[in-house]
Amino acid sequence: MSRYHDHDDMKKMLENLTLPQVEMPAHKKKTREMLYTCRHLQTRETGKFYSRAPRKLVEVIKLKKKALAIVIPSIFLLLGVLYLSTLLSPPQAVANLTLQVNPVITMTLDDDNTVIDIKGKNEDGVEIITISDLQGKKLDEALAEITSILYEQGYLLPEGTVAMMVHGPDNADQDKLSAISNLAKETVQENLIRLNIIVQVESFVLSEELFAYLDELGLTPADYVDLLKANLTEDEIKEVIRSLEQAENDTEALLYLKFKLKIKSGERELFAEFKQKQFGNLAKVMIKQKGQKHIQLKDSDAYEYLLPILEELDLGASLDKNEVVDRVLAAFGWEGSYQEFKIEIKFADKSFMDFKCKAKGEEAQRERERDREKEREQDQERETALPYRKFELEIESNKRKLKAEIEQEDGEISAKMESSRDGKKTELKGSAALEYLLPILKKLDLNASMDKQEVMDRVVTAFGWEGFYEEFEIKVKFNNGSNLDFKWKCDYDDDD
Amino acid sequence: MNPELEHERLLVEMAQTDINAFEVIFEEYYDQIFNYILRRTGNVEDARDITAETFFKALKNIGRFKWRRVSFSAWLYKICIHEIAAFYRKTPRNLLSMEYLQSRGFDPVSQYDLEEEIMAAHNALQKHEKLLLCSRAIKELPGRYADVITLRYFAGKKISEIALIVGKPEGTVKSLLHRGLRKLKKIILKDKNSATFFK
Repeated sequence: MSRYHDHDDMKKMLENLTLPQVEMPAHKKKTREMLYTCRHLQTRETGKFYSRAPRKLVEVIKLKKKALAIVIPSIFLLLGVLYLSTLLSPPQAVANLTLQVNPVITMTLDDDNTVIDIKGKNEDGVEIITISDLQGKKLDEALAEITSILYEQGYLLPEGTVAMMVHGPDNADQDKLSAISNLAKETVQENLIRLNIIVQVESFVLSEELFAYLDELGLTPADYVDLLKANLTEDEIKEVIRSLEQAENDTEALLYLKFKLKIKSGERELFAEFKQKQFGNLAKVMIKQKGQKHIQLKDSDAYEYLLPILEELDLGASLDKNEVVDRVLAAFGWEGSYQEFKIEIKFADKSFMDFKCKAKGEEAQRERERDREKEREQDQERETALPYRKFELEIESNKRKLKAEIEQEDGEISAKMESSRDGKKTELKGSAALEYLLPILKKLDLNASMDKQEVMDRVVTAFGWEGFYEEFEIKVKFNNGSNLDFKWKCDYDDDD
Repeated sequence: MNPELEHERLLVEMAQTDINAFEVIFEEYYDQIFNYILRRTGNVEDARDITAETFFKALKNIGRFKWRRVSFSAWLYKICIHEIAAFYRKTPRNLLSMEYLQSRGFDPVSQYDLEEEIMAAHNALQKHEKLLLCSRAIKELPGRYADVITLRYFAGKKISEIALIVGKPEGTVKSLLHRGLRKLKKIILKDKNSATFFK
């Protein structure tokens, strides 16, 4: 096999390709100006998202559909057309077209089948219309473009189904609805052939009443297209949906009817709320983190965030509070301490849980640490406290002299220490003197009533004075206000 | 969120709040989008038009962008590859931005005014013979292969980023790359100028 039969060299060549890096300042400037003139264009409203159908309801529908022994092909494209009566609408807006490709897109058509408005009804739908230009185009042109985009984006797979839906008000011209439905079906089929894809194409007409009913339940066409394919009447479809919804309420309901949580620390705050309602749920999540942008989720976004957490929480009204706190913190990924924890739950069995607590976990530990630290500081303060308000000492012999002064005034301590021996002088001041003197003075343990000799003995021992001394002078002011003050001079006669 | 994404998120939020702030996005991304399109199309004029159209679409739809599955730059590239595909479709589309502007008396980008710049860019491009050969061959590839190959090798995107841009799983992107390179090589080898291509 020659090297050309292996595409590794192709890869290598592309990896080593020198790429042009061209600058186009003039074009950039022109484009910037062009965009500048466009700024007054209001960015089109983001299409109102369909609230997500209760997940379990959709699951049950799917199960039920299996039970009905309906063949369920994969649905990758669902197209719906909403036709509005020309008599009831302004002349320019006579029909709407809804497209779902997993994405749900609604297009409004005029009497001439021209798209006059387009909205994405879910995330994928918005994305599709973001990268397309369908407004002002004829229905067939718009569908051709959409089919191309769906193909390019990989939504169309050979085993998939393209389903289209037409619905309109009771007084709508049924022939017109059918004509739109047929046109949409033929257009999509032609484009799929052009793209060389074999995909099944379906088209349905349904009443505005049924569409509104399903819409109110938050169901997108993809959720019920199989019921339409099963040739059920609209009443039968409603009945199936109702029974499924009831089944969901009876057996599949979430453990919590209401769940409200607040966790707060100095750095973070989390608020989550969920309420189960008959159709759709209310959900809200807010996360605040110091120095970071707040996160706020609502409705379907918040629901999607909360649902897996709530499903896994597995709380019960009889559960110990600490256990609840631990489980909730873990489920919401709350790391570290909190100052406040507040929870309010109404369970599906109507039981309640409602409590709040403060400063647990690491915060409490930190508080204990702070207390211990405070105690240590107090101990240290006691240790470093000077036992005397003032201490002055002078001891002298013919070869050596020692002088120490320390005074405490208004919380400030000044200290000085001088020592000279055989003509060599050492002097300490400030903190160095204090550091030297403090342990000595603590050991001294003097008091005002002490005998002079005992004072002198203690002092010379504490200061490590060895041998004979000729003069000794001490002045001490104790913290309790008492004084010790005397001067002693050696009298050689006495000694004899 | 990594700092790069955080920066992107901030830019988008600014532009969504105040459309005038879109200029910051334009300044930040113009060069890379233009050069990606230029490398892919091998044509200065086409790259200019598609770049303008890409930013026009982004401006028009920035309010709709939601920070979910794809980052903003992935979204921008998504628009870009769609615009490239649309530009080269058999039935050429009208460039709505130009129509819109002309209807409001704006003098659209004139080739004549920018002749010097175009010539310079054209000359610079001609020095990259291998790239031009690649660009020609890539145009013959189905779009899905062209997208992943050019995003990988002309825009330097990671597989994970490409997956977000083209909306396909990473495994599919790898497989498209693998098959695409094989197809690309076959096309290149058919070109009479390919004799020295792999040397």
